[in-house]
Amino acid sequence: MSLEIRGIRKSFLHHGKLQEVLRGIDLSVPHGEFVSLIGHSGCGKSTLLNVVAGLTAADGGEVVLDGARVTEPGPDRAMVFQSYSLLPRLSLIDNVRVAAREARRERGAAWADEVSERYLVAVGLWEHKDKRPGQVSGGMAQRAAVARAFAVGPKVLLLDEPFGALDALTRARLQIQLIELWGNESDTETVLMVTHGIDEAILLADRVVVMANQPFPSVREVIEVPIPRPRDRASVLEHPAFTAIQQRLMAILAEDRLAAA
Amino acid sequence: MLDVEELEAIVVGEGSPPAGDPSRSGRMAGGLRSAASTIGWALLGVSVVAGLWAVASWRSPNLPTPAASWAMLRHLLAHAFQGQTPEGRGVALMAATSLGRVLKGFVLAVILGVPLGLFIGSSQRAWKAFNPIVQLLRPVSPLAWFPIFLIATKNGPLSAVYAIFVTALWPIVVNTAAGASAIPRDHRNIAKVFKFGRRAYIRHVLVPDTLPSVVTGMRLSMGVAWMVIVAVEILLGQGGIGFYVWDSYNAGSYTQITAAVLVIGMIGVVMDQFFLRLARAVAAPEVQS
Repeated sequence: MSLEIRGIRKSFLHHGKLQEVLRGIDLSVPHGEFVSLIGHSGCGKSTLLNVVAGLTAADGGEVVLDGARVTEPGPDRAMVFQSYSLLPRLSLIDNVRVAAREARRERGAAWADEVSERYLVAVGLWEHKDKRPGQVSGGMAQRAAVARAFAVGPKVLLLDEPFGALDALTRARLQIQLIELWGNESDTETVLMVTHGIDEAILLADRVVVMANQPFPSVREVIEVPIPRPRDRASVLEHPAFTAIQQRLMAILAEDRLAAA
Repeated sequence: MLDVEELEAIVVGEGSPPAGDPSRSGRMAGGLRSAASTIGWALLGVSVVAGLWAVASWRSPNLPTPAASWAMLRHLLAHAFQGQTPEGRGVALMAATSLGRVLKGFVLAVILGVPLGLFIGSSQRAWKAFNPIVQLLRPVSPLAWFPIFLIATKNGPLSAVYAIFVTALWPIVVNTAAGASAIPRDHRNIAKVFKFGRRAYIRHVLVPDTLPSVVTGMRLSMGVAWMVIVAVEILLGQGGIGFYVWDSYNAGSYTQITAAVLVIGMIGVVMDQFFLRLARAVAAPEVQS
């Protein structure tokens, strides 16, 4: 029972030159693990997420979830996009409800109504449920997107820089809300999160996967985060391992930046 | 470019309420002032054009004066719904004939053009197959189609409807296709990840995301169709406001021509406003960041 990423390769044509963005990625994520993917722009971390989601076809290799090969997108790998991808004409509750109903048609409308209420309440948006995405702040829109992803009951949650476009205070609040949701409210076990933030990567994850541009291999290093759960911001910042991991990540990322320049 | 309201704000200056805390009466006065300024500037523009027209009709005596045309317009409108007047059928009845032809052609164009546009816009292959033929036929004047339809149907009024259909078709097809091909990738990704069925995709993604372009196409179509119907009816010679213009010319009743031109313009404005409002109603609400 796990997510297996085996030998994934992917190249893109960039200014007429073929660039191999994913250079043979192997990653095994056991059930229940939270993995952060960190790296500079262009290192392919979002591409890897899209391959796992089934939105992008890899040139080589395979993604296997619980023994089944991933060939197309599906609600067992629900995704939260960077840009608050909600449908602009539907209310927040309808954004969650329509997704739940379509993703799990066999479970019926009553089930969809129930889960959309449960997760909208869980992210604190129940009183705003009838507003449209354009009528609420970016943070609220992203909470609705998180609620939608949890509502369909995925095996793996894919987060593509979910808090990247938010201000620091909102981001900090949503990070805590996310680990509480993940820990307490859902059956979703495994999480892959792409992030630019070093502190965010450590705060949330069990392992941090550092990705890099050429000439380094795609996966530069995998760092364990031995900070016990349940976590909150204070307990993580005070843990002796935190500073060491932070320093290590900064050193690797600086090296990659130099190599790229 | 300086906006009329900005200009007005500059002129009014310190008389306007302080920004940030507009009192209720201040806002109402502002609304009145803005309406007054809109009407005032419009009147100025109309007077300038009417003045130029007056000069032209003074230099070319056969050209009806603005005053004579205005009097004829009021006369025509007063008897708009009468079957028989000294100037022919009531102007509203003739306009209704033309509008009926335009609407038939337009509805036909929507029925065929929207599905065709959706198909072309959502498939690369369909785009490649249809784009050359669309580009070839689009610049052809609808008047060139008129004799072809006459040959095919041997029915004048029906051919006029078909000519309007061809006129209205291209803007609808092209705009619908553009809308369908520009569905945000985010929305398509949502539909893929959450496994939207065909009905949910059409209802929540395809229709709402393409409707604004479709309505824009309809607005352009209607504008061109209303222009073309006058020319088609001059060729056709069987009633309608376009024929009335030509008939008045042959009868030497020149004030009727200028009055009819004003009627045609007014009807065009009303229809354009309708589609403009429709376009605003279906426009996409933005997600704020």
